[in-house]
Amino acid sequence: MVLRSESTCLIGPTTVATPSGRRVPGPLSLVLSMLLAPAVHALDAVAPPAPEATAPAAAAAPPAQPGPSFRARVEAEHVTAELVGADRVLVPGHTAWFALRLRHEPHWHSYWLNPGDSGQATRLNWQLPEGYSAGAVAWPAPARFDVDGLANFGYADEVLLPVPITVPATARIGDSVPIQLDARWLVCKEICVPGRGSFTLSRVVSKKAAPDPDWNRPIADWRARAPLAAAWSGKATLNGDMVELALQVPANGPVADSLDLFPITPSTLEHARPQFSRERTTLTVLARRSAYYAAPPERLEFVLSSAGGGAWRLSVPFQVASSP
Amino acid sequence: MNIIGRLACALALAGTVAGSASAAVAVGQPAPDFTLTDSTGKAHKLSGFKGKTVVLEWNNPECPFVKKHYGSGNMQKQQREATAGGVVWLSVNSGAAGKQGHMDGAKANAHLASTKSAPSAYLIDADGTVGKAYGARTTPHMYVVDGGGVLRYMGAIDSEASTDQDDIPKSTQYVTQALAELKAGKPVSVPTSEPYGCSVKY
Repeated sequence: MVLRSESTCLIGPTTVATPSGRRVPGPLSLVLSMLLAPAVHALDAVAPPAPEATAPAAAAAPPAQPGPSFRARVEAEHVTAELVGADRVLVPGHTAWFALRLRHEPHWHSYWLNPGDSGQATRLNWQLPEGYSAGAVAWPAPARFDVDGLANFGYADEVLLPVPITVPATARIGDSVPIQLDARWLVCKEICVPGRGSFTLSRVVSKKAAPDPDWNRPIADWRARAPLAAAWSGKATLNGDMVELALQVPANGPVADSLDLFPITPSTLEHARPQFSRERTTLTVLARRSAYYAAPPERLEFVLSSAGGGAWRLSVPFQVASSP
Repeated sequence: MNIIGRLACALALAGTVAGSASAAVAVGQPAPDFTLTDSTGKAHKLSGFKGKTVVLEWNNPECPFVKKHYGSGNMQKQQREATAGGVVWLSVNSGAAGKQGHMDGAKANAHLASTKSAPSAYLIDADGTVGKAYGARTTPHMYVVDGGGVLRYMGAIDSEASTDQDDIPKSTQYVTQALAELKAGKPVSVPTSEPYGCSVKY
């Protein structure tokens, strides 16, 4: 059975959003798999779009209003958003990783935690049962986009924004737990379109871990793209309208001309790519002070990203040079 | 690296950055003077408003961040309150021809009427000269210039960087705050804030 729907389709007692042209298992296999597996697993396992999946819309199930539960994928303007989980079950006392997966149309991008000169970071708001808690997004190192001379930091093509969810040690085996996410994003090409989606994945509490065959590996891969916390010593010095960063990097550390810098501390550095130079193990970064700089932060936090792969998250003391 | 090397780096960097839309203005410094034509064809010179506080509002009516503040009526309310108190409110559109939000005078007038906007004037800056002189990078992006022509505020319209109208009641309205403080003869308590919005379509 081939379903084609621009918005949502009704499956069994629940509704799910599907991208148009996606092949969906027949109702019987779906019902069976829903009985046998965590509810959304059946949807995660949906085959990729098939070229022949072009049945006219009339052949599709009537579009239904998506219910709040079991909706795991949203087709939004210029981006497809989906909640995915690294594990098929929740293990008491353990951390379960979930991720918001954003697939952008070509040339569209969404934003990192510091969006740069314009734009807005994707925001995740979790609704979890008592005792469960969501950690911070493990933001993958961003890319730089030039928009009419302005700097934007974010992601094109596909990105997974992984988040750890702590399962309480007291979670009861066999319980079905709804993991609910309200996500808001902004996608821009030159123009910008805000989007929003509510997602739910249900997971059963189990003693035994069960990695999700489709998503365990991708989520691990995207977690590995988060900048590593680097313990390199260094300092940032504001001198006039320039900030100089002096960092002691390992001998096999990043090469100056492959680097980019993405500030996390707001209103301190300009977002334009700064100038890098390296002598032996001293990496020097010269950046213009932000026009919105008001007062010295105690520390300057930022991400260094190498074009050859590798990204580091650093926090260095910030000082103002005394006048000569 | 020796001091000459560092200086060379700094100069090279300053050279590369100067061409971008980075702000060339600073709070406490004179605001760059300019003359722009409004949507009715009338020219306005910033220095011509000497003695009056002037608000500059970078505008692109199609940007979702701008829609947040016009859809909710927040921007129009601020325009009316400010102008009723003797402030000059200049909306500026730096959108280049062919890009989102660019408008000629007639379109701008229709937009002002349909949104019940109430700026003192809606200025067309299609070549982006004034936007770049001010380092305007987002819509909205707000500036407050005092009666002596000195910049007193630059940055966001308010404290909640979002496209959601629901966030407005819990936000600090920085321009309203700055105008009230200037009127009371007090220093502006938040003179800069990181602007948020869509990029200006230069």
